[in-house]
Amino acid sequence: MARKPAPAPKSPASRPWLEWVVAGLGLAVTVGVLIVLAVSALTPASPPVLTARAVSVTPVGAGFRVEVEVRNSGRQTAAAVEVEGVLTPPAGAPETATATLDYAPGGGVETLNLLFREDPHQGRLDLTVRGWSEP
Amino acid sequence: MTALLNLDPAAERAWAAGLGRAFGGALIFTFPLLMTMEMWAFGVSIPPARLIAFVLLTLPLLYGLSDYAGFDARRGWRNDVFNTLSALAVGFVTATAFLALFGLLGPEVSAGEALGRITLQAMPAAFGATLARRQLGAGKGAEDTAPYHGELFLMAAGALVLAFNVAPTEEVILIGYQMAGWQILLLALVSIGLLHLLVFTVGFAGQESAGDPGAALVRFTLVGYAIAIGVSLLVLWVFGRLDGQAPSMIVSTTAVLAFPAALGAAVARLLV
Repeated sequence: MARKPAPAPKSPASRPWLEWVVAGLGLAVTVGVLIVLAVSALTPASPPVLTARAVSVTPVGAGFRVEVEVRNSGRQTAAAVEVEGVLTPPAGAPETATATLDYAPGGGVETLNLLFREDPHQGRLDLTVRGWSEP
Repeated sequence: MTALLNLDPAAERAWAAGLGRAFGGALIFTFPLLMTMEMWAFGVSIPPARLIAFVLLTLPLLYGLSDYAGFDARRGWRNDVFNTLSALAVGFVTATAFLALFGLLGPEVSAGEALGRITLQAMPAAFGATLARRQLGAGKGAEDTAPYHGELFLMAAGALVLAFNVAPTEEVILIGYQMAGWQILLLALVSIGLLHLLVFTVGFAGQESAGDPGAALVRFTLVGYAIAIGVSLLVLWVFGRLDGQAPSMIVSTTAVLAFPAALGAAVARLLV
């Protein structure tokens, strides 16, 4: 690219101190990011392995809210993760609640909530990951 | 380094002003992307190897733009390298700060996801930082004397700027689905026609070719459209929009994105 003669040619020695700091930061961050990305690119990819577990039960207006933690111990990301909870009370018909996670990143933990009319403490709660799509 | 010992307050202040402008440029450049949902999702869905390729492709572009715009009027490869690195720092800081402010880097976001999100946003932010002096300051770059390959480089940069703002959205794919074959052909012709018209109006082609439309058509318009197509393919590939697509779908999606890319290439002088 053509360049005009610099209006005030400065020797590199007079470079502002601030510029050294900022440029150094840029170099460090960019190289760091590239290294981290390279390491994760070289780590063999494993398909998503999803597990759901109930973390807490909170009484809400018309029933109970169960906070569910979905852990993806695989390295690949799962999208549209559908989680189903079936609550079997001591008496009466089982109750089903479902929710969908947009993404469960590889090695990450996401949270979703299921709502039940009956108290999950009083029956058996089965949490299942029904399926997902590739992002 | 003796440079660290010689503090020149005036030079420090001047450079700090340029740095502030760079943050402004980075923000103005990236806020549409920071506020685009698809961009957050790409933080997880883009494979790391592709993200590396994206960063490595951005570096020479930033370096070239530093020569053209940059933080200040200094030129030369050493200054361009410093400019590029400083722009990257500004890009990463801007992307991280605003993603965090928008609540997109919360504790529920895994480290890998956060890194992907930040990196993807930091590159266009670094672009904006480099161009800030021309966008927000009164500084004049070297473009008036840019040779042919310099003009083509600017076209590619302009194409990338507009294409990158549209490419993450679902709409590019959807429009590709909606269009019939003849509409895609027409869109390509409209893109080329507009590119040619704008190259003339904006005076991109330079005085010597402006007198000869035929030469400008070949030298700038058609080459410019080819650049727009290339940039579109690249951006679509980075975003994984071409994965598993049939060739016909790749053609139509690329033609759709090449429309804003061609506009960007045509008005590169205004954009960058």
